Amino acid sequence: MPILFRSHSRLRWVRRAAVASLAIASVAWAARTAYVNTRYASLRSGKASTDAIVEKLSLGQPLEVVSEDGAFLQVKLGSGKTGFVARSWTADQKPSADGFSAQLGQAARSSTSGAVSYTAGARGLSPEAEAYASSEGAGDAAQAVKKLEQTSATDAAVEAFLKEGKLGDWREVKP
Amino acid sequence: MKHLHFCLLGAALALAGCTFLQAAGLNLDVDQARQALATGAVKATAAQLPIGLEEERAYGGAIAVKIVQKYGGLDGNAARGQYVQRVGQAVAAYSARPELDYHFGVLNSDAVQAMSAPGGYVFVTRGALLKMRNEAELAGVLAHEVAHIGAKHALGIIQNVKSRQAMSDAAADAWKGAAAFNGVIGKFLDDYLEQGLPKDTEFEADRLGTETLARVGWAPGGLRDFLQLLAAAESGGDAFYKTHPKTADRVAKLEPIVAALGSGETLEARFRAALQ
Repeated sequence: MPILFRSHSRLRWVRRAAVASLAIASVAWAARTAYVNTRYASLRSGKASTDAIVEKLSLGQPLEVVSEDGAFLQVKLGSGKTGFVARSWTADQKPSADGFSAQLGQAARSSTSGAVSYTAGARGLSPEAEAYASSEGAGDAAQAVKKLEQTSATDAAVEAFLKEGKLGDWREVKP
Repeated sequence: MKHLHFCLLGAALALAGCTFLQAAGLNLDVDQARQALATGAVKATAAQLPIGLEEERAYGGAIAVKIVQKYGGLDGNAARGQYVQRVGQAVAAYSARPELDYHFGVLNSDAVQAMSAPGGYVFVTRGALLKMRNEAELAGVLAHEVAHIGAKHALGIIQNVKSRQAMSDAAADAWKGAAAFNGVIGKFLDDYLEQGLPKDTEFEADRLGTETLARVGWAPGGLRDFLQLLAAAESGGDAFYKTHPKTADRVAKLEPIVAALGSGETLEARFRAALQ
């Protein structure tokens, strides 16, 4: 009997250990973080591109993964808002400090991750490039490049363009 | 019809500086290394440091100026320019380096060319634009160029040029010196303006660009279709992308990739309306 008792006791410990392991695994899974890896992505109320936008997401923004469902992730933001985002607009890797990860660039304009100090830097031709242009007799070309830099499409215009073409965040993704 | 192409050696060369500092018994990240050099804590040549964003944009800006100069300035059609910018920004937003400020311009040339420079500068000639048949083809060509920037193909070569130059000043910002800067740009342009880049970098940019097309939702065959159009017109003459691998080889390599990526939008009507 004492042997049997010990056996039951062992069994209980095995069960407890298994439950504890499952709990730890569950916590670890629930804490998984994904990061937005595009400039235009939205948290939506559902999986269709026509579902309401709960919030626009920022490049590099961390997302707490609540559940995974095929081509979509159900995620929770730091603000507590939840919704769906296409899996392909996210990456598992945290942005590198240099912001040059091949998988994920870092937010140059609106990072909310707070984890990266990288910025896109000043716009416009650098003094070195201007001096080089001058030395090459390419002043007109330098002016043309500077003008080009000042006339880039705005985010609003690009988003409207994507929406009109049903592209990017407005593309219908099959679940 | 020459294609300026400035692309690949990539990560291995970009990491040369890190290797150097590690060999010196230091374990520093890029920022720490720059700080150490700036304060003289490390005796090393600045040429060994990985190129940072400010420096990348400076080199890219200078190269962009040379491209614009070589191709007669920018096309004066504002509507065409605006459309290309929107397609380009849409490509870039879903590329490997969406954080960069990209600039897309139409060159005032009837040659059929497209080219890019580090830091986010992408150009397509009016001649190439007017040969295209739909938005997916334009997006494909721009995505190829954006892929070169994302993979740091040209930047890797510039890093190599820098490393070979005798830049004796150990200061982290030694590259800002006119002699050093102009020397690097001059050498880079001499070597790659005419002869182009290694073939494997072009194949890689084709693949990466096509994957970006599919990711955004354009027809994945956009770049392949445009290359096919050009291959049919080549017949041994002055080829599009003279400095590139044979167009037929590129098309062949793209076929299985495109087949695996499914379908997407060609947006021909929007393209035609924009170019009218």
